[in-house]
Amino acid sequence: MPEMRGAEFVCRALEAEGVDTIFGYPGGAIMPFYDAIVGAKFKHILVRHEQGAAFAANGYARASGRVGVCVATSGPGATNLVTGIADAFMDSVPIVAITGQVRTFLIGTDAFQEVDIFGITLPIVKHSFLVRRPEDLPEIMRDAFRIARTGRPGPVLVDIPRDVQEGKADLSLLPRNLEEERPPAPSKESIQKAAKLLREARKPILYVGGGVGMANAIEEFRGFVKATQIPVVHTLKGLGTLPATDPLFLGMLGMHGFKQSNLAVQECDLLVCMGARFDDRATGKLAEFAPNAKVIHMDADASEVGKLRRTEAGIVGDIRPALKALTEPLPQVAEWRETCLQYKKDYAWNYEAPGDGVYVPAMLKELGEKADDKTIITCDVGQHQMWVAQHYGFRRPEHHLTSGGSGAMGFGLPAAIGAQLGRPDCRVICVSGDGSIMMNIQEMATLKRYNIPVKILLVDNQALGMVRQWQELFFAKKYSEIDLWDNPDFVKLSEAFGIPAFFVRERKDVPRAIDRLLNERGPLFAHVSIEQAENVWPLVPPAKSNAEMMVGDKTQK
Amino acid sequence: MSTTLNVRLRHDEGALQRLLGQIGRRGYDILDVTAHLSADGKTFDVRVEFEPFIPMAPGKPRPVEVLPALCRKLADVVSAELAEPAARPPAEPPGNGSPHAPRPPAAKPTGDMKWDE
Repeated sequence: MPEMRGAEFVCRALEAEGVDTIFGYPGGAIMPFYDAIVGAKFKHILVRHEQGAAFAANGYARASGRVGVCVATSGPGATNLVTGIADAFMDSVPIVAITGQVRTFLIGTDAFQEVDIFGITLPIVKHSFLVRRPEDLPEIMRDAFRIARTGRPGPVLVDIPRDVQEGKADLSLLPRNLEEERPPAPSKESIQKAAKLLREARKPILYVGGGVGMANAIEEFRGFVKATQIPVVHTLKGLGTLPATDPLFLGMLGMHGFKQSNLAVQECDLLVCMGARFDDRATGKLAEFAPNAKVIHMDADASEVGKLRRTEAGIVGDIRPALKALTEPLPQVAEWRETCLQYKKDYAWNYEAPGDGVYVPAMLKELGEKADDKTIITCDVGQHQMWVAQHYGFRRPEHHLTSGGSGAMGFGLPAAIGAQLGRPDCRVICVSGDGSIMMNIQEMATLKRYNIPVKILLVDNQALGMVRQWQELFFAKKYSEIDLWDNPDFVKLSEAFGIPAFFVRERKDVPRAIDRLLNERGPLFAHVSIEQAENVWPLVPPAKSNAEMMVGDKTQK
Repeated sequence: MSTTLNVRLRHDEGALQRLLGQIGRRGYDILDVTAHLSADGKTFDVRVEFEPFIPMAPGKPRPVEVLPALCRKLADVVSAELAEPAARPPAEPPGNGSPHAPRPPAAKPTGDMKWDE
């Protein structure tokens, strides 16, 4: 390759990685890169806030299975990426964040728009690079993508000073070592130990997180479930790994898990944890989580095994060969399976709520039933997020994009933009709340500019609903700063952005609204008004065991 | 009781900060650190003496065995192993100004503190 500027090389490296879309916002220190992308083979999406770029890259990565890329300038541009980078770290999403930096000789002088983004992001990246010389770019760009996608995926920061972008050098793309990118096979001993535990178990449960989907092990997992007939509970990020329609799927576990899921876990004698991490929202009071169970823990990340819960058999590495090796019928679990299925029947959700107002669980159930297998749901954070997880009925994990670990309000809309561009063959619906949507409402302009056919289903209770619920239940109804009575008129707001919108207040209007969301070709905004007093049930109170669920009045028995 | 971790890491941008940050953030208190750059300037050999500081629950210290794996997942770490107990330097008596003097335990939780929240 001839001598070229660093910025041009970064573009060539992105093209060589197969990147077709990047999300960003220009500024002073990243201008050479923006000069170089004119005519590049990939598309650049100009977001309206850098946080939107990071979340869009996240949605793109999770929906497409490829590495997402976001770009920002130095200083405030870079710090605006931070929440999105942290979100990708918590949920193990492969993104590469490229930031401009002040010229090398200005670093450390408090120069204009200088911030130590390398230092700021150290705790929230899988890895990071500050590029000192243009000739380092070939190795760094190759390694950034390799590190982001291999093993347990995560975000990688590449901070490039302006003079490195402008500097010329003989730069050649380096070949990728695909062999190096494959996770190691787990040890035979660990698989044998797990097989013995499975054979001895009478009441096993599969506790499945997002790691199974990330390891591309869904088919092996489903084969394992079919053969062993062990009941399954999912974490928030695991939803869809086993289709919600499968009889062995008990539901989500944890703080807002279904009663049958939490009871089954509490009673099991063997907990098979696959690609999950004993997160506090899943376990409740850790010391009382699955108190009678031995544990098999399968994970690509060795540091998760034994981190929070003692493990009798840890299987580290590629989960696929382990699942294949462990796939065999377990006739001794038949009685336990029937017990779990009876729990599922006993605690089935009651979707017949009183009144004429919109009942969100029923609306989301209907949406899930009407949507086809090429529908992706993104969420924001709060009550609506939990209702989606409980009632939509996911069939694939990559169809459910939610901010699980970091719980970042404002995730849903930009993630939907990224998901739609990463999967143009799919329909993408963002389910949001009136608190969350306002956190990145500016990205409506991005929808309009590129005519991205994302649908927005806004569940509006004129409050920060989840905080209001906790204040009601755990702070003696002392409501503090949760009232959003003065929200804008969302229909008018959407129309001001140039996106058609409509309003839904009554239950009878829900079927038509869903049909419209599923069939309209361009972007569309549905504003659904609900009662402020609606709560999410069940709920495991803080610091309590998952056995101590509060169940509300009209939901599960 | 303190434990010693031996780490070899590449001499990359921020490698030392990344390693020490990982140890501290995960709830282990760093009591002593030595780092030597190899003659060719490519790797650091780092010896970290540490002890679990933030408990997982009242009376339940974090397991030290997890720390090498937490360090190994850093991209610039070549190897990370706990030193065998016999290989650890003898503990010096507390209260003599030694850098190895144990720190006081973490403050006990107040009655209202919810450990699993």
